[in-house]
Amino acid sequence: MFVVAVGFGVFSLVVSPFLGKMKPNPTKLEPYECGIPTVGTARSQIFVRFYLVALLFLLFDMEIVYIIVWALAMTYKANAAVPGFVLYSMIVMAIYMAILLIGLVYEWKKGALEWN
Amino acid sequence: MNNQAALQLPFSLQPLFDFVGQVTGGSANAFIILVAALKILLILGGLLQTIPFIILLERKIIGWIQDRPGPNRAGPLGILHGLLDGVKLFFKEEIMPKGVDKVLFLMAPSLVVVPAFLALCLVPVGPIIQGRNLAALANFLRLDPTMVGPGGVISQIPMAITNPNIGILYVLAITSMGVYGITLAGWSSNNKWSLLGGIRASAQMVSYEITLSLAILSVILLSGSLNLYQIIETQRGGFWNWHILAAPVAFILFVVAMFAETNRLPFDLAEAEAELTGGFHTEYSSMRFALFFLGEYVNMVIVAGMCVTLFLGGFYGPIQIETIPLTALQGGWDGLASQFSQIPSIIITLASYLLGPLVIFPAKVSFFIFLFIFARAILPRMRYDQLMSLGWKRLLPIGLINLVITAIAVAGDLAYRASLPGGLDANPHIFLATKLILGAVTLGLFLGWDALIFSPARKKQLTTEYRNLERGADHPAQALAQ
Repeated sequence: MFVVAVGFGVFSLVVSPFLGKMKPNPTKLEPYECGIPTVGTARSQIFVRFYLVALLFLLFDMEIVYIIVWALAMTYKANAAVPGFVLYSMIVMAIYMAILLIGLVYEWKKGALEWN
Repeated sequence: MNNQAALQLPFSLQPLFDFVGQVTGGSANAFIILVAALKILLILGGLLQTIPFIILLERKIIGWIQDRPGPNRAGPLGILHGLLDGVKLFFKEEIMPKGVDKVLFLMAPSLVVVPAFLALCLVPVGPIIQGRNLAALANFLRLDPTMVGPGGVISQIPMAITNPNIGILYVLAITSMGVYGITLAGWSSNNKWSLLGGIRASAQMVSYEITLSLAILSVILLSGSLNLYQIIETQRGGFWNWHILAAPVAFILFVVAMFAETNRLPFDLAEAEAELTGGFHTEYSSMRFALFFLGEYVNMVIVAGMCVTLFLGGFYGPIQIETIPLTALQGGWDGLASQFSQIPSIIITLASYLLGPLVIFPAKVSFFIFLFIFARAILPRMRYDQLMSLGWKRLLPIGLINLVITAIAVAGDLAYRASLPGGLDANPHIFLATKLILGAVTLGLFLGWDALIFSPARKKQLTTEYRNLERGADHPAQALAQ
């Protein structure tokens, strides 16, 4: 499947230039800016909030990866059959979730989730 | 097989397997490769056939909603438009504007399409062929039973291209790779619109992926597995076993996140044509543009397929049809076949297997495709700050609380089942009552959230505050363009 997928992606990109006519001219190669001449550089500064979102995403995604492992371990038949294991894992997760929620509340109070 | 002469193909396929076996070294390899190739051909080919028609359907429905005929030039009722658009895009001129980062610019469309195709290979479109039915199929195709059959090299054929144990985790990982394609397309284009579109898309997809994962976590807790076939197996038996009843809030979160992940309206800020001309694909033309387009639609089908798999029982119908004859007639499918003695049992076996991939699964997926199309026609686009606050301040806390409640219910159920005589082996599935109570509680909390938290006076105050904020706020695009 990987071979087919990559093959398709590369094939259509390689074949296409031979099929279409190529008549470039300087005006056509200008970056599109609603028809007026380009102003300044396109690689301008980016709003800093986007970096913050990426950081928050990393934190939460890591947390979710841990929760997935926990969910599988708790519902695994041999584990769950051990008396007290379910209760134990729930207590562990409660502590983990509490830390996660405190973190979320802190981010919220600090205004990390605001966009204005 | 026992009570009548088994039907067989009039010719043998063995020469084909021998030939591939010589090339790949060993006939076992030949069987594995040919089965995989056949599945890729059927699933990927089938999907690529339907996408032009999905696009046509979308244009038709939007036209119908906007009181105009929609595309109607090529072919009767315009059914050729989708196909001809693809052909046209192949023959268009490739434009490489000056100042682009050439390598990334060329790579980006593939980076969108390849993960989409790779995620596609996990979508379970039909049941696993195994046991006596696989033996019957191998007999019908005149294949070597030591190769294809119970106990053979290929002892089961799942109707998905692959069926790894980490299933849903792989889908999550691979689909999020698509962010790279869109971001790099936006960045490498040397265009302000593209950059804004790419950055917006990456932040948006990343934010809603958390919601998506939280929704999936509920299902993982309920089914206790990452394997997509096992997730479907836990929903077997009828619509009352579907996870949508046990996890309605997770379903709602998943659907919302699904729209955001595929960059569809009302969350299509990445390509918002009214503000960013084309968004991240402004500078793309010809086949490179077509790949973005294709990737978007393949992604739509994949997330719809995932939603069906996780919440709506996958390829199983609302009522389990095959349980009725199997228990009523001794001898399973062969017994059923003897009831219709004119029809060879292999035909009935195949028909029962094809009901899922050809009827039920496409029907459920197309429900979501229609949802995508109607949402695009009806809903206005959200503002970017609204999008972010919806993702981080609404859906994330809802998802976490939903997860906690689900975990408590599942853990309680697990502990109770383990304490019953016979333990978990006698009661492998979560009780239906637990599922229904869980569903009712989470849905009630979700719907009654505002009423629980806010008094009417406070709600009114919040609304006025929000309106004032809305009036005074700068448009985020202005803040970005500075």
